Amino acid sequence: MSDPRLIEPRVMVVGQGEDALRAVALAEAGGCAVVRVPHAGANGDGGASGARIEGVDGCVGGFSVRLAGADETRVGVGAIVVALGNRRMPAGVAPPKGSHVPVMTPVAWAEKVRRDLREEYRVAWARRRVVVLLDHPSDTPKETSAEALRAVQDVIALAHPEIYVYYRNLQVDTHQLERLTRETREAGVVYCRYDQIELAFSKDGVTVTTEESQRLGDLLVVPEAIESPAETGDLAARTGIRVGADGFLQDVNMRHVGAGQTVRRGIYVAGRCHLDADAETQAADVDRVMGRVIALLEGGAVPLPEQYAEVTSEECIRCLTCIRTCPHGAIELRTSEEVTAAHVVPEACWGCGMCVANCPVRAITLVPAAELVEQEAV
Amino acid sequence: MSDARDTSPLVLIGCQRSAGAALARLADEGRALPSHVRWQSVPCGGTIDELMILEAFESGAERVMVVSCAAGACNSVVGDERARRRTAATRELLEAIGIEGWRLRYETMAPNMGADLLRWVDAFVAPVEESVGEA
Repeated sequence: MSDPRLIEPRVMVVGQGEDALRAVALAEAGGCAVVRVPHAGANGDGGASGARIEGVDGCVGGFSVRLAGADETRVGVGAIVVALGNRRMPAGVAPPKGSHVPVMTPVAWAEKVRRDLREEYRVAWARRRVVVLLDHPSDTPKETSAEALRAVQDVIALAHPEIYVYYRNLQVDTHQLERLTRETREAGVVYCRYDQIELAFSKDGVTVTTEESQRLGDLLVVPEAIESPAETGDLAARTGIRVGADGFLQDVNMRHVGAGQTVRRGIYVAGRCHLDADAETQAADVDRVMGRVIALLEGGAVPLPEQYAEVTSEECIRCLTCIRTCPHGAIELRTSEEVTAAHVVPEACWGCGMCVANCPVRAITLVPAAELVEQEAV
Repeated sequence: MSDARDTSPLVLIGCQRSAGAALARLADEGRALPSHVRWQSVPCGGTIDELMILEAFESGAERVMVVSCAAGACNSVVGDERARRRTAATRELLEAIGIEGWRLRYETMAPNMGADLLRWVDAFVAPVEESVGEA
């Protein structure tokens, strides 16, 4: 294993979608060598193609990545950026057979309006009553919500159908989503909030019934559903990072360390594989993560954390409890001067003290701030 | 109810990332813990073990409050859960030797919950006879 204190000036970018391409371009522009690993089809999708990660040894600055399906079977990199992206699934609304009500995605709808835009169709579109259905059957991700509202905006600019946006939990917490909802509302789009919704298809159209209203529409626009890539679980297990309850990759508490950092120092997640936001915000997330990676690799050495754990080798009984307990993959078994003992790699340690509390022989201490800060409050 | 306030020694053991950060914010606003509360910072809820809590009682505390980050917000993934379980186990130990369980309390918080922390400390008193004790 290479010495973790010296940084391998290369970054591995995992994934093959838009986010990964952006990450690669940014790394190259920042003067970093890039190793690309698609890690596609590693779980479920069949037909694994290209290189896949088998496992990751070492720690930040000096990862040794075991690969399958590549020319090299082991590659050294200083940091790893996971940008798997997400995958789009067909919308969860299907009209019954024989229904004449068209159901389309926002993008397809806007394209159709644009195509139809000859003089005679303009009138026809103005008479349409369009139902844009969000958060059904489950919450619509922000990326596709923004896409739907942008399609609404495009259509209003071209023609003037009646548009009703049904939503349950539309979160306008980004600049883009806030602006889109405000501008479309000002342009005459009607927003209807619901808790319960029923759709009834008939030859006249689709009848949308909520607690507050009933409305007949003749076109239903439903965004695609978004899921985490099938490879997510496999990749998380092989790299030692976490998957959240929503099935997407998870960073550590971003309030403390900023978005993108995973529980394993030096491994980052970027873009859609960990973030529900509109496209603009997701791109900004990739930029921010790559900025941190480039800064790390340019630094030449991994900075030591303020506080880290240290094992007293002579007292270690090699029970491996700490290695099992460490949430950050920072402990390994090392033999030095004929003594085999657990060893905490300081650069990878978060100083949480979990191993200290769990060591049955109390062989681990926190340094240099071993003493707990105590103060008398006034 | 200022007359109900208990000013006997209280030790507050908390994660530096949530309770510690909250106290720092309170200090910026010119507010602080009451003088009978001793603050003990730990790097993560996962560091808190039975011995640490018992030592707090041994040092003279009448009550000990353990505070970790909210569920799912732990920087080290499982620290809040470990703190919760160890506090519960220690409460059993205390009760086994005849010390009332209410004297040990567990809370979770975010760094923006400093005001709540002060309120919890104030409300940390012996339960009234009729009321049900803290679970």
